[in-house]
Amino acid sequence: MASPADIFTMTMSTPFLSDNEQSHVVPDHFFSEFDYDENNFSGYDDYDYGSDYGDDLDIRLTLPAPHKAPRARRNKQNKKSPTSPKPAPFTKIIQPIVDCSQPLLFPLEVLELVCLHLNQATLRHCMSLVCKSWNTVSDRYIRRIGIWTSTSDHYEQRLLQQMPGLDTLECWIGINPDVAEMERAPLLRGQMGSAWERFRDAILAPLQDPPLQDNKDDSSNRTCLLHYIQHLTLRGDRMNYVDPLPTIQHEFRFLKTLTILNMTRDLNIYLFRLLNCSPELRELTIKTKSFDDMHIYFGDEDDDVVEPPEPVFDPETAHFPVKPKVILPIKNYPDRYRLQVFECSAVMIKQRVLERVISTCPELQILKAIEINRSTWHPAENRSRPYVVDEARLFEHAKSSCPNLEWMTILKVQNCVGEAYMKRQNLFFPESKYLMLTSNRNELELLTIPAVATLVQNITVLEIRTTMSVAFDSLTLNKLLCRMPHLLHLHAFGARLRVNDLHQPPKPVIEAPKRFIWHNKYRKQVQKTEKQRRRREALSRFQNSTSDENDESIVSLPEPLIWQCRDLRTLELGLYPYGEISLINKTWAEYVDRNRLFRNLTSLRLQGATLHLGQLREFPHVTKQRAKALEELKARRSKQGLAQIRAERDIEKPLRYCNDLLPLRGMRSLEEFNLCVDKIPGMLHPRDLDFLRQRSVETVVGIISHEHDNDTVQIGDPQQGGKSIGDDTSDSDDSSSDDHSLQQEEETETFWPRLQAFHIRYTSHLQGVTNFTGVVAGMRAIRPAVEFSIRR
Amino acid sequence: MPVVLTSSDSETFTVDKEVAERSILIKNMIEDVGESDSPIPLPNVSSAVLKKVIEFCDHHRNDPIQVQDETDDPRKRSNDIEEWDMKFMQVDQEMLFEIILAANYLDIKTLLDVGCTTVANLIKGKTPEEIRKLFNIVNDFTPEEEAQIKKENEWAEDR
Repeated sequence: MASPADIFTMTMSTPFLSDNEQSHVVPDHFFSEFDYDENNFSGYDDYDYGSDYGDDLDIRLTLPAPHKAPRARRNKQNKKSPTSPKPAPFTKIIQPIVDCSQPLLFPLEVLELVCLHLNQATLRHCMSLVCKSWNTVSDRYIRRIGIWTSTSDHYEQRLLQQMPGLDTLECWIGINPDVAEMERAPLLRGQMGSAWERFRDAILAPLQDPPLQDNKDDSSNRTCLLHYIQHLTLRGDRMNYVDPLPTIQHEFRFLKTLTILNMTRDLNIYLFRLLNCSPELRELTIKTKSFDDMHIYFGDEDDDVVEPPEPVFDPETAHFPVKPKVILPIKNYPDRYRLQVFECSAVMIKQRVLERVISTCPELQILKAIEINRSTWHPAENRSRPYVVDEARLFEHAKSSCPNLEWMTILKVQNCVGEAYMKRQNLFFPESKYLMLTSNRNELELLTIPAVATLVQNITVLEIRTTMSVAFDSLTLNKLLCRMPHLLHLHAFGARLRVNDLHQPPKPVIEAPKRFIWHNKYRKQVQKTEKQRRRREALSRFQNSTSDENDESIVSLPEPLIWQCRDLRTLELGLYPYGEISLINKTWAEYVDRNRLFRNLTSLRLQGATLHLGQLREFPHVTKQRAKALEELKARRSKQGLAQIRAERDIEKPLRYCNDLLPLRGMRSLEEFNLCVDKIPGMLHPRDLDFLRQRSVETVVGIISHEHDNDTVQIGDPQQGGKSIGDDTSDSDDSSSDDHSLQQEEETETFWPRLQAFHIRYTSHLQGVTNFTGVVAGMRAIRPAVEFSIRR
Repeated sequence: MPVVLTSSDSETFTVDKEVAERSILIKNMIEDVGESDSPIPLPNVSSAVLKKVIEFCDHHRNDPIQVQDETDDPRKRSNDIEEWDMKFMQVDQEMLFEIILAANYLDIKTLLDVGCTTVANLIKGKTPEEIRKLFNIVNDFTPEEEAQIKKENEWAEDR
């Protein structure tokens, strides 16, 4: 049972009480001091609670709270009656004062399950710092990434020391790893080779004294640093100078994930040689960003098998080839690999290699080959052509060989997502919940394909990629989202949404004013004309209705105009750049708010042109204009009173941008916020991000049961008959009984109350205007539980 | 066929077999013992908690039994709780704690998952100090240890 002293300690931290009130002993009418007071909410940015909280379906665990700190009530006489009939307008979270002095020690296996539901930011900044046992458990789930890049010796030594404790290693040679603390110098082209060599030698160097691991059987087998890495990413420029892969792949025996991103120059991957060296590999991703060739070969004697030549058409017989095409049967392979995800993008890969991947990886769940096979030179044919890929054959083969396959996409570079693609998806994976689309300048045609209507209904994950350097059509994206009620995750960084494509409600029809008839002799004629017009309208309505009924018995439902993806959890979206116009366009924010979208969104990643936040930079012409206006005001000051003084004071204040992030306040479930912008023109100060501050703290409603009574008292939602905050007339009466009921409330309206990570990336910023390190430090002080970063 | 369960405070509950078999522990016990009228003792679960657990199992009696492999993949996990489950979990912290312990003991995967999700949702957005206050946990770190962990975790910072 909590002692009154404990309760009092908790009340001391509540900002609802003035100093005067806190210095007193808990009074009898203690509960009423914490009652929900709607007067406190009067000044909250004229936000319409009615439209937001009236939705019964909108159930949240965390309660929304005002953006303005409520003022402590000074005049107790004027306080609102506790019998206010208006219920609290939102669901409350009830956190009782724990009725035991012992800490709630969860078993470690339960804590591990809890960790699975938390993201990395919470694990790092909260879970690990609670106590030693929580630290031990969360430590297993914290993902520690080592970034290897061309950097100072000191940093490199530190990384090498840390590496046995890491599970993920990313190598960035010649490209920016986007980590602030790197003391990194740009690499010249001539230094690339030596940088790759240095990396290769460091991770393969034998360990002098291997660190002890939990699993000691394994630790004896781990002889170099690479053996401690489970997830490896190789990103870099001119990898072909050294080609580290053939050397290091012999030590891939503990590797589970491998990502290779080649930026420039040719590179050959010998796939099955790599897979033979990596028995534990589950995910393999191979991408290239350059226009140079990146080939994926077998890596064994299969490479020597000569491809049957493509049929040559006789020009005289037009369509009939001289010799029929030889189609090789699908070969059976004894090898089996445990690969679950295979993805390659913008590479050259033969059909037979893909077939072998499908044959030898029966656990495959995701297979993506995108933008594959540009034209390449075939010496035997003395001409240049792309490798031939028969998608239907691959799909059939995959369907029979990989029972767990959930997502398969094969897309040649010269092909676009079109009718054939959608039909194939619908034929082989009619129940699929995943869909990938690419931009092709003709996206609108997608909507005319009959297969699309049925396919998109069940989609939960939609990925949109940019191909041919063209953004996905905004109108098509908008229409697709209107047909996807089950969509949970939208990855559309390749799209550029235009707000003009969103449906806007029509303006209210204003009735035409009555026609003025200026002479009585025209009255009959006007009335007759009006009558005829109405009759024509009625007739056309009747004809339309009868023709629809006679047409067919199928009732065609109207096409939805509003996005149906109301349950979205992840949103990655590119917004159309409007130059200096705000990143979060007001129209989009209003659209989201009006249609109650994104109430359950937990991860938001936006890309746009400009983030408007903070103070405007004072350009000379603006300063001159303001000085002139100030002089004018001063000249008129004697004529006008207080209002003039206020206006004068306002004009002396620096100009500030309208905060672009405030319109997104409706996303109350948001946990991760990522923003990628081209520029941040304003001068930022931590004060500009004060809207993120945790308002008040928490709602605590507790009941201390009678000392001699062991029965626990049910505490529940106010609507469910539990103890509520606003209706405590009966409570106060009850409190006179032997049960010392105690209710204490601190109400919170925090901007994005469940936020755990807030990251901003910008491309350009005027040097010396904002000290982002200081801003981030200030933000951490504002919201200590959140991980902040603003990086270039 | 009804099954009789006895709580730690000797209160008996008669439930349907399919409800009781939501618990893997009870299911195994029934299979081992065979059909019998004798009550199954649950010495680690109090009557108040057992009542809540039975309420949960009764509501989810027709749900498919969760397969172990599905829950092991963190990517498949979500923090969504059904409306009924959320209302069910609107209890005080001590009861929530007891329910989770009981679910762990009785091996009821769905209840354990809902309980852990609720705890995870309680933790989100809170500072370590607030979490300690919430669960009545004592900070056993020295300032040096705390600084060291912060330093290590900055190193682990994601991009």
